[in-house]
Amino acid sequence: MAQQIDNVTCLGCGCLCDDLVVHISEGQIVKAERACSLGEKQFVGRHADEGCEAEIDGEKVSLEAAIERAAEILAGSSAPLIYGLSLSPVETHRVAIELADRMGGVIDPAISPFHRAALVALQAVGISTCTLGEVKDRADVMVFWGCDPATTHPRFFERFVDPPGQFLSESRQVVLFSDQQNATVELVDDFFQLDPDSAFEILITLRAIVQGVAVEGKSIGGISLDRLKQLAAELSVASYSAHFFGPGLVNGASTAATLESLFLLVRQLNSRSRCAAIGLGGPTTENVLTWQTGYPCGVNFSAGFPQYDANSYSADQLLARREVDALLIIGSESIEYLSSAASDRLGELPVVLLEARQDVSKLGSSIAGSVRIPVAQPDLHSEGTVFRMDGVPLPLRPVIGSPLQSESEILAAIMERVFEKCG
Amino acid sequence: MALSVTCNVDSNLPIDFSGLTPEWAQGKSLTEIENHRVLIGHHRVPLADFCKLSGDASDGRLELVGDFSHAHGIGAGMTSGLLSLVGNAGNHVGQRMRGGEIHITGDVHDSLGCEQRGGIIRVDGSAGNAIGGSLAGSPRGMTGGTILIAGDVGVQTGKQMRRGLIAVAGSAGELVGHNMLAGTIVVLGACGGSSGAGMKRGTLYLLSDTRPPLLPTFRSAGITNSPISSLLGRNLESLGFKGSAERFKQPLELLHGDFLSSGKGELFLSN
Repeated sequence: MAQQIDNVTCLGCGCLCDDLVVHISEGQIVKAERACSLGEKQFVGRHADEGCEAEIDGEKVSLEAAIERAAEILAGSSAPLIYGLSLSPVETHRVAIELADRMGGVIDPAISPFHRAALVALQAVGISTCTLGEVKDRADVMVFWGCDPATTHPRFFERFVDPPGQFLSESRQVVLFSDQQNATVELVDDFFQLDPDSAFEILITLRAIVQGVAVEGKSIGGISLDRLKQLAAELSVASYSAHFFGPGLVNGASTAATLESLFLLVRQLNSRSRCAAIGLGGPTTENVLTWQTGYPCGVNFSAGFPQYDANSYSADQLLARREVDALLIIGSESIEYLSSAASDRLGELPVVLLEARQDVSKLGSSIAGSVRIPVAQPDLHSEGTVFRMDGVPLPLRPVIGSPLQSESEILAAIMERVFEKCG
Repeated sequence: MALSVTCNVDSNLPIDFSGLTPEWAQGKSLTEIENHRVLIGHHRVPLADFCKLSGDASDGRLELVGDFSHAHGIGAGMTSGLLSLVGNAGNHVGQRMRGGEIHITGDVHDSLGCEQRGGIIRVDGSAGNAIGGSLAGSPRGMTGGTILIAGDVGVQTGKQMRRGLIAVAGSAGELVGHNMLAGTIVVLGACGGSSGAGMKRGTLYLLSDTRPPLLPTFRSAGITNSPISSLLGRNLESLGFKGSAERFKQPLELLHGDFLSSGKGELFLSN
């Protein structure tokens, strides 16, 4: 029997489009209206009795045996790391944090490098931000820094840029700064192609122009000073400018300084009119950890209380330095945020992997001593709450049934067994 | 006779070495020190389980021997005495140190001398990022003391530094003296871009033969032969930082900046 479900939330990107209409026929999703290319991959073709078996070292085992082995690995560990949670709902985060706390391990939500740097910059200088709804209705100038929303957030323009703003009398001006030609170039009014790794200099220059400080030179980072002056003038007279930043700003350890400079530019512009900055990434994953421990990422519970260092306790550094002896990953999509030095270590230590879809797993089959436990996909099989990239919480609900348990249920079962073993 | 601690640990698990300072060990018996519990991973184990100890620390000297590259917080909060390490060290060495001396013969990871308030740190090898810098969210980095590095350093040396002296004989990464409030940083080798970004006051000496890329918010103030530079060179020589005095005697180009902050910072370049 055909079934239609309205207002489905999609976890395909950080937009978390919650207006999808999903059509189900004979237990299979046959159509997802309003879904973009990323959303279609999340939903279309998925069926209700889809399931897969747990594995230990590549051998199919029962769920109970996999949970038992996972608990053995974690209980026997001296320095466990919990990583991932990039697409997990609040409920999963809560259990994962409790597990890290009670085991005395480190928890580091998978956060893209630019977003991690943004959190560090935020702690240094703060950030003036807003919701995407406010951007849609009020922003007359939008500036994209090092991002390609046409590819990474396919419905971003349709939902937040193209619609007429409720409080806008004229069309908005859209500007892109990127070191390469990308799909978004066609959609913007003004494209600034900057030299690689020169965003910091350009932001410093823009801040200087806005502040009235004389700047030496004719061109900065491949862009003429006259063009930057013109843009600074436009930003200064804009009634509401919104700045979006993305992975193109990543420049090693200097990324946080670049974003600090962007946030300071936004602060400067706020003294004249309204201005905001938003990271153009995936769903935000630091919320639960922040409200429970006060820290957004890289939290170490080994001393019995939370200690924070965004760099030293990051999964990337701990793995690269081999300071971890067991790893629990929630969602294999998180692996893409690890450097090659860190991901190369995955084969050297016991890994417990909870993943919703083994058919699109980001991990190869070469993980030594691994336990793979299939879990329900958050936006398809189970309910919960996730945070959009602007920090707005949105509900998830089950669209089709699944024989698989949710991430939080599996984690709770592992935690129970860990503490039985530890006494 | 110094207290000697030889590390025999054969794993890479992180060791929290903070608190094990010369003044802490002074007046304690060897047995007391051997029984002191140290955090390895999330287990607290007696120091004697992974280190061999001998001697005593009554003269305020602590000697570490072996690979301490996974030991973090060595000499953190130290107020007096001498801590020497023959080998490499982990993160946060000398964090919030107030006095005394730390001497490391090998390399050190990130955040060396982070928020240091006094004392001297010498590293014969290289150091990682953010030496003499601030912890995340903290308003200021190093507020006193001296850090001398014979090798290279990573990015953001002296981030938000408030006072004190950092001297690097090798090269430095980007953003030397980022958001610096005061103090002095000397780099003799090549230097990455954006040095002095956001500096309010303070002095940078970037004395490489190659001119580092500078931000457009710095302005040249001409060539100078400041007597202060010669004094600084002699001071560094007296501290055992070799090969710098001659460079300070030469006329140097002076720039002021960062005008985005207050423009009261000084940046000296080899002429």
